[in-house]
Amino acid sequence: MAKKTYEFGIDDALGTSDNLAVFAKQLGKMDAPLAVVLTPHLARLAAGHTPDAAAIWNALFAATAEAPGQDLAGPDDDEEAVE
Amino acid sequence: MSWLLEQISIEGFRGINNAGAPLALKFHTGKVNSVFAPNGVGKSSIFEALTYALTSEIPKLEALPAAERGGTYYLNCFHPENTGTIILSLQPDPPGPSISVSVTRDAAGVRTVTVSDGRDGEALLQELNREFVLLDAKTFQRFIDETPLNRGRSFSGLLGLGSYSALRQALQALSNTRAFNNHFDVNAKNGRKQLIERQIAQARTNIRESYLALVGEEPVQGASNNDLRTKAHAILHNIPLIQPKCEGKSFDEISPEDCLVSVREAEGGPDRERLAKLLQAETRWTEAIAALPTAEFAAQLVEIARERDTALEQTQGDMFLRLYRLTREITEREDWKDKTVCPACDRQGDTSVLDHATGKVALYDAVTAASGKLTQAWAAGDWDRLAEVENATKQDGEILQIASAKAKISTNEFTEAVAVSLQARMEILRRRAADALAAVTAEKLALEQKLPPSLVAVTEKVEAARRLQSALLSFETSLAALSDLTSELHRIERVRTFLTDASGAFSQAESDAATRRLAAVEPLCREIFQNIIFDPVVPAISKRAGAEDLQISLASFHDLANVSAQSVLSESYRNAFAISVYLAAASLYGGAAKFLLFDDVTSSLDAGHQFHLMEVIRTRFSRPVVTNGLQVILLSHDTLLEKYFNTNGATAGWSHQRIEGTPRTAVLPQSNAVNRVRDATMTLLNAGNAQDAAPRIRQYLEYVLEEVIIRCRIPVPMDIALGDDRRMAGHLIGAIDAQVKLHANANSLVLEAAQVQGLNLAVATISANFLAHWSTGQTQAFAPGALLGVMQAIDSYADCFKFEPVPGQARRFYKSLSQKQ
Repeated sequence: MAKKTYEFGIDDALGTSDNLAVFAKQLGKMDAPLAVVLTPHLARLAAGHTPDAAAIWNALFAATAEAPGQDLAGPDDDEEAVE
Repeated sequence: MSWLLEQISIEGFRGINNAGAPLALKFHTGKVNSVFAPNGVGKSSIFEALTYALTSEIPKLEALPAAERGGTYYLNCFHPENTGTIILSLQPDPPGPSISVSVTRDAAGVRTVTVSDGRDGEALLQELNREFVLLDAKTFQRFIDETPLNRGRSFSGLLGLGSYSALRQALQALSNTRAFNNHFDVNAKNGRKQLIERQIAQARTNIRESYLALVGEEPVQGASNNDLRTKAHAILHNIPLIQPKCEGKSFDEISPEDCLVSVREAEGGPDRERLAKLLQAETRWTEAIAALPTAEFAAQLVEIARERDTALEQTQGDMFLRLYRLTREITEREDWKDKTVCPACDRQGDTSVLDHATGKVALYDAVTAASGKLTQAWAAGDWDRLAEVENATKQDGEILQIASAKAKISTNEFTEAVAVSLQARMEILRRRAADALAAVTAEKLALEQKLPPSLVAVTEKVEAARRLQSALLSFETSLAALSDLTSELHRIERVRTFLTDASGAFSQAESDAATRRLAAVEPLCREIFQNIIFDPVVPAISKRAGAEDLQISLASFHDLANVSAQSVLSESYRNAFAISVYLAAASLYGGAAKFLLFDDVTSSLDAGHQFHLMEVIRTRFSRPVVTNGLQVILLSHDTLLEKYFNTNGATAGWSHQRIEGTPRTAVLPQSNAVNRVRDATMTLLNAGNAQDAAPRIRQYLEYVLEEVIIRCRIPVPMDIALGDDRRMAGHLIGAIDAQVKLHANANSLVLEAAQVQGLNLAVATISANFLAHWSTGQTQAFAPGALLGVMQAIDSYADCFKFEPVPGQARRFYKSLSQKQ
């Protein structure tokens, strides 16, 4: 099976929070309602905090009540996008 | 935003007591900074204080055995308030208002961080905690000796990718299939889905058969359930005897019991009642038999249990799993050269221990996979129905086995033996159910012969209607349950796909960035290494695409190519390799911290290489030569290096200071704090504390002597400070005395005769009352009164080298021993 390729790349000219904001937008394109749930965790996870996997999985599952195409959760707003 | 370190202030922490008067070390943000301290004075405590401020711990204390109670040694043992305080003054770059970050630790180990402008202190310190900020010899040694994986993780941080690496690992953990499936109980849900699908198929069969019995024909193809209900209702409604019971009701609302009451009332008698019960029993047994797990299913269960048993037999419990995993980890290391040597017993075998351990771990993975398969298969069986059959056919003294087998599944004790026993039990129950059905059917047929045919036919229609009602209900309920379960599984799959894609996208991006940045670091690393070592040795660093590990080697070693760095490099060259990597990465991928602290990083280098390294730092790496470079702070106890510091300290781009003191009292910088040293010493002597005053007198004396030497331009031997530090003051006095005598003999001495006499008197007091005891370590001989006289003699000594330029004005040092001004 061919290896899957992705659009996201780390931009060396941007700081961590800006790159995470770009990644959050990419997540929004993958599945907007689930991106809304995962995005606020990115900064903490990047800071090395151990994820509470069960809580994140449950929240993601709850978010699947919305169809993937619904609500892009304002990913243009980088401040909100990454906590 | 980036930050430079203006000052660090320390009190009550590690080797720095300074109660009420914190050690305040100022650093120049635009120069190379060096701090020299003799052994035992507190240089490493400065490094540890910054380590604690940035990382919340001191690794060497945390690594101590519990009995050593390392946590209690963060604080200075002599500090009266048992609290450690570290204050960092940070200047933003580009310049703006400075802030001060205060970090305290109390006796209970509680850490508090506050920032002068109210921002989140821990977040700021975390941002400053980059891999290149706190560098000591251990860091460099670790970098070389680490496994490629751990080295790669450190390197990720050096490349400014530490946070990306942390996020990648977190996303990988979230998308881990096994943990994810366990959390959502995916195997059991898939098994349950199979069960419901079978129940739906059975309900379809029941609908068709009961409809045929009631209506007398097969359901029309494509007919909906409501069509079937309408037709069934019409059939019952057309039977005059039970018509009143159907009037005004839907098919589902018709009560078969009420209909049978009408039949009983029409004819009466226990036989009619019995026939109705037999018809119901026949339905129950028929449905139960249809729902029983098939013989093929039972055989499949036995096969899966056997597979799991076999896998389990190959393993030896959790303790061995830990052993095999550790063995694999050790033998995977680059420095574990011979993979056939066992790390536990050091014996060499014929085959690879790594392959053996990897194979053993794989056997445990096979057990996990087989357990998952068993869980899924079990969930596909209707064990509740089988348990009902067991209860209904139970014979005296028999033990119920179905519930017991169910319990063994949940405790992972469902072995092949249990599965075989269950298989046999299922066959027994199937036979008993078939026997019960046959008995019911035989009795029913006998009664039907005995009773009037018309009423028998009505009873049979009513019972068929009951079965149809039940089958329709079962079909629709199962269909709804299947729809819910399918939807749930789709939602779970959606989460899995999202996390897998998120993890995949981020991993790929991080790997690409690491490859890109590594390519930029390597040439710079080689250049730095070359400028430290000046030998035909070329370091190489490489990373596999998509992997975390970082390999180091030598692209060339004299006339050899591709040589192992760990194997051939001396300790000094290994350190130089690591230093080159750190400096190259820090200069390319710095972050919030624009400063770095080196703690005795040159100890493995000879004087020549020390000089080369310092020159690399000064001319290629640090401010001010490198515009916008990093602010370097060098801590050292190396007296040779101090000569270099002293030489550069007199230039515009370098700031040097020396610290003195003891952990028991205080550590103070010699420069700019001499008055504080003098005042503190006098306070101690006036309080009768000669023991704590003595080291400060030495600090004060050395300062005064050095000031005389510098201000009066007195030449001293190059190795003046290289000897025993307790004798340094004596050496300095001797060197000054020799120059005074030289100028006196040459008639060029600028000092007045009274000053020369005063000089000799002061030296006699200092020598007899202080240096004679200090240089031999007999500090118990000190008396406070005599030491007060010594302090006075030190001041008098310095005064002998001064004159009053204009009467009434402050006295100034002579320009030299032969020139007044």
